[in-house]
Amino acid sequence: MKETAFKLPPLFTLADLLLLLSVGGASFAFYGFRLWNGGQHPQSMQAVVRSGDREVARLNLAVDTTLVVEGVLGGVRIVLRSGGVHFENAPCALKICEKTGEINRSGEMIVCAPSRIIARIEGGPAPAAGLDALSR
Amino acid sequence: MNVTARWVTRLIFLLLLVSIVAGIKVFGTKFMHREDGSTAGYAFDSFVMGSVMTVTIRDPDKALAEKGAALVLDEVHRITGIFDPHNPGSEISRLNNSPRDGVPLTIGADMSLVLSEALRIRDASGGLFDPALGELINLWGFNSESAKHELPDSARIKALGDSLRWGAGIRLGENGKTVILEPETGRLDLGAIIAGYAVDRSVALLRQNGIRNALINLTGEIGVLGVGSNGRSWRVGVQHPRKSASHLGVIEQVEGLFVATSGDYERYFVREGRRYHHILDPRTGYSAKEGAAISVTVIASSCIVADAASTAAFVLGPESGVKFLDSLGCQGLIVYAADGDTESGKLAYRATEGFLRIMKPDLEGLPIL
Repeated sequence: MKETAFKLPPLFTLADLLLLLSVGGASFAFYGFRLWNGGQHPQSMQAVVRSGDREVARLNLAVDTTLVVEGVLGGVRIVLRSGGVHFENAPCALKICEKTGEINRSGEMIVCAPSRIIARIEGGPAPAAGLDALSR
Repeated sequence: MNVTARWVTRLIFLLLLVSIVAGIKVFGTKFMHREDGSTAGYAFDSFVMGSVMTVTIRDPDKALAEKGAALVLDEVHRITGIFDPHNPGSEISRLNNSPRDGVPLTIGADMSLVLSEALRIRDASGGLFDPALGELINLWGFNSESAKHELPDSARIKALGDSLRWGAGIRLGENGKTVILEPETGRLDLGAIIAGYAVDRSVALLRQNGIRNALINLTGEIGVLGVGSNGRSWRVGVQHPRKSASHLGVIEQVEGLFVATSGDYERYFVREGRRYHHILDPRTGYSAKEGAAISVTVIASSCIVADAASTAAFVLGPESGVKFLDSLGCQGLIVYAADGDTESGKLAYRATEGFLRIMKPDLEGLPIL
């Protein structure tokens, strides 16, 4: 009786293995870099600007720009510079939003309450030492 | 057979890859933050009480989070409807338009509770926290969005002080269902306490509705439930009063506690080198300057107390303010100008004994004087 050698079918060819290694290596390099970089990914952080209940802009924090947003009392200039956001030329009397200064971390926001304009930084992981709220 | 098995394996591998990528995408868009694989939750911002309220709910159930935020917003609008002195239909306007003749006026449960706490803090502070400074607050215009913020006529300030006893003539009737406003009582303005009450109510509502991890931030008055992202305590910073991008320290163990801060650095204007801010001293009619206080942060077991006590301690100044906070059983930090120059002088602080055990300080060398 002739014996027949039984062999498991090869699930992957050499090309498959090379593809797997390439994808795995690329993923490891990408996420490893993000972790090493403190989890921050400035390209993905955005300044989300709202006037009243309406979202009027999502601005990439990595791109310097200026936007004038019309609110209840008039226009507020929102400036993105070097990864931070601040307000200028607020039309209200107390200018609390200008006094807030610059924000640059995920979750932080600037508010011009009389004009009903908010800029909040979203996206990107919250820094490990970040605050959940500020009592002021 | 070999060919079939190979293609099935490839298909499974492809599906797994797509699932992983899709999962990352879903988490990236669904949650406000991603932090080491966990979530910080959903954040909802609303314009209320002349400022912004942020409700952060850390729960994977988006529907529950949205329901919680909606409940809070409805409650805060309901409270605003009772206590807004500029709304002619509010309960506080009804009281303000009633004669000051000592006749009992019927009040609702919310008004009763808030007035009761306001009068208690008024008594404890020797009248320096006052819930009936309405005429004075309107004269200064700090709560008006369109005011020019000019220095009021000193004669008008003096005339108000001479003709009114502010809140000295307010008494709650039997069972707290009525209030008596004696002659010369000022117009009620509960702006220095109402945000705290709204935070208390909001936290209670969320708890009642099964939400275990949440943070309410209403104009800087803060209440929390449970824990923040990654299961760690919520982290509440205390604003540095003279450096907008800095904080004085971080309060980490806030579960069951509430935090409120009063300061001279937001609602103010400067004339001839002097800062005029919104925390008014009923003795003078001008911005409080006792002991050159600059900011007061209070940690208490309710936000209504933390809110009112921070204002009262500001008016009392650093020395008496700390004793006052001790007498209420609150923890507090009072920052002041050591040389009396609140514009550019050297800052110092006083704190209750337990405050710095709760707040991890970053006081940047501020001396305790």
